[in-house]
Amino acid sequence: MSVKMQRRLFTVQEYHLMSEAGVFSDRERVELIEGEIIQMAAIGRRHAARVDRLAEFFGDRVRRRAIIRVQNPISLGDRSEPQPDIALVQRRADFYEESLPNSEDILLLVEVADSTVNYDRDVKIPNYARSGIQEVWLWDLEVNCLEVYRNPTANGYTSMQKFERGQLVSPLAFPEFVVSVDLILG
Amino acid sequence: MSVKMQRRLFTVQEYHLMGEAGVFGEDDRVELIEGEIIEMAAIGTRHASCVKRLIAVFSDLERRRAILGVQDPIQLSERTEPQPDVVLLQPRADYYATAHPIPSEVLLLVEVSDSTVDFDRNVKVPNYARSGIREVWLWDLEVNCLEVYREPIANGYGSMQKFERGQLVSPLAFPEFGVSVDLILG
Repeated sequence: MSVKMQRRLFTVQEYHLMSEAGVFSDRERVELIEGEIIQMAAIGRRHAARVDRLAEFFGDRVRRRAIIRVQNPISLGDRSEPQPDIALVQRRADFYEESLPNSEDILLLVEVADSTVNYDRDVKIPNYARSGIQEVWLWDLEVNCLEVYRNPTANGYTSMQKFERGQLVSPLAFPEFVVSVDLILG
Repeated sequence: MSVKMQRRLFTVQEYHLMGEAGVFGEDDRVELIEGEIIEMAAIGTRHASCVKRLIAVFSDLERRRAILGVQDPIQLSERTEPQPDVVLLQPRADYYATAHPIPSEVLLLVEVSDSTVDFDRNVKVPNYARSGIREVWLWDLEVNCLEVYREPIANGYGSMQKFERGQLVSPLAFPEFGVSVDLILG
């Protein structure tokens, strides 16, 4: 019987050891996703602009009720430490200096995708669901729509709703924030 | 356009840094193959006994003619450092204390395969050819035969010959040294 090669998967602890040992250069952007170390796509101007629009929108409204993390790591168990584009997380006095936010701390997670939308949808989002993150927004810049994922289960989010230009959407955690899809899709 | 995610590949230097940092434990048996860290298959009893037979046979070669290495690393390139089952190496006074052997120092490379024969034949052997290893013996324990690869070129080996029970085979480096296929297959 022939077998495929088994990649050695890594834990978060091993990933941190590697980082401290200088395996990654300062300018590299990597994430740990289900034990695999993945290179993040370079940030294009369009991606950066859309993330900044969202950050400003939430910044204006959230005030001190939550912390807005932009492209910073979150902890999802032993084998994943992704860096989502935006995460609205529970307020904590130390701003998560002692330990990274985990799924329970995350009020809303937002990914902005241009070239990586398949990977985000097929790998990242099911991972987010398995960890119990309550709501994920996936902005698909290629087809210009927003996918809103809710009701996390071990098999993925049971609810997914699409929003297009002209529509409005609000996060579960902050139903009073009314986001215009046009604002983000430009 | 959607692209697949890029796994972060590693160089030999980074792989060594990881080892020194304690990323791998005592029970980790890993190799670096084209930048990916691969888990080696657990060694079954038949595989282990074949290697012992090879050691017994090659121990008859005088020390001044070759150094025998068993499951030790060899460095094929910037991104590949496998641990073949058995190698016959150019004699060196320091017994390779300062650096792992490189392809020009390998007189014969031997892999014993049971469950991994497809990976060995389709990935490892072409890799060995690309780095210029002059001769590879692949013992296929599933079908009980030996494949001898010679004439390394960019795409693989120019020559492959099969040997079965009852036959004798000699390495290019030691044409007078006959090895009985039966003796190795047991």
